[in-house]
Amino acid sequence: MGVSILVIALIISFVLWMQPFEGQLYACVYIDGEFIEGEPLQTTLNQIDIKTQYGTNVLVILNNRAYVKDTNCGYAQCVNKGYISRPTESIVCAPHGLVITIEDERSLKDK
Amino acid sequence: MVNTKSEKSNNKKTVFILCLLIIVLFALETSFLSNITKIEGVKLGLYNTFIIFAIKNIKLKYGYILAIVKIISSLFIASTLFLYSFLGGILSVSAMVIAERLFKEKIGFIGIGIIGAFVYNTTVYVIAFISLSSAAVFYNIPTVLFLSVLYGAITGSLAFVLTKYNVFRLGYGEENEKK
Repeated sequence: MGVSILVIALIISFVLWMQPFEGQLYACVYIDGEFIEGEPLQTTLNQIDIKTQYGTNVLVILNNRAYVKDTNCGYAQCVNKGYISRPTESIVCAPHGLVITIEDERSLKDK
Repeated sequence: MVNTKSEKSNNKKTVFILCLLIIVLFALETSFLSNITKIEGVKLGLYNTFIIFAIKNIKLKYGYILAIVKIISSLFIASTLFLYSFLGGILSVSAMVIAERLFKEKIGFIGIGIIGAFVYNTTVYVIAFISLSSAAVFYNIPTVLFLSVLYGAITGSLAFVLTKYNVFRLGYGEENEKK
């Protein structure tokens, strides 16, 4: 049982790691599954307050990475998650219905 | 094995102690070990040790009682999102009970622990997927699966140690000692 779960985990990891991407990457913000905005990953500081009916999350983009600096959800698992920078990586704040995921230009154009 | 009245009473006392231990351990884990992993929704779940212990050594139904105690604790201590905690807890204990019933002789403490952790974490992620309408939550699934095996093995091992040293002085221990 344990070995089969580990094998499945390795296969999924490999598939996700092999996801191709091109050009500029974006931190895409979704609330309740709906696309809100895509902020380009950049080296300079960009701080975005994401305010929803559920509460507030502070998204920071710096050194081509994105992270949630602060939240008022009470759990702060999104803050604890740390940086994301690779395509399909995500930060989730379930109480606020928030998902931040890294996407490339091609997938952003489809929004 | 026929349960005598004293054994039944002893079992109930043990379950009561396990309930208290679950509440204490849950509070400690929430206070000091909640950030042990950087993955959303994944916890070490040390309290699961006692649920595994009850399922393996006392009665399957006590597993459900302990799981409900944990769910109620999570509402008061960690104010966890109810749906995640409730469905994760109930499905996880159900999976462990079913596994114990079907493979009683073939499955050990660690196996039961892995199944419980796997079902709990997978349920949490499926609920997150449905409620957030985003498949992006599944990015963490490989790590979650890996941690399920690791954490399940830890809690299962602890339950085995509790059983081996008969920490709760269950009746069968005395029989074994006589043998």
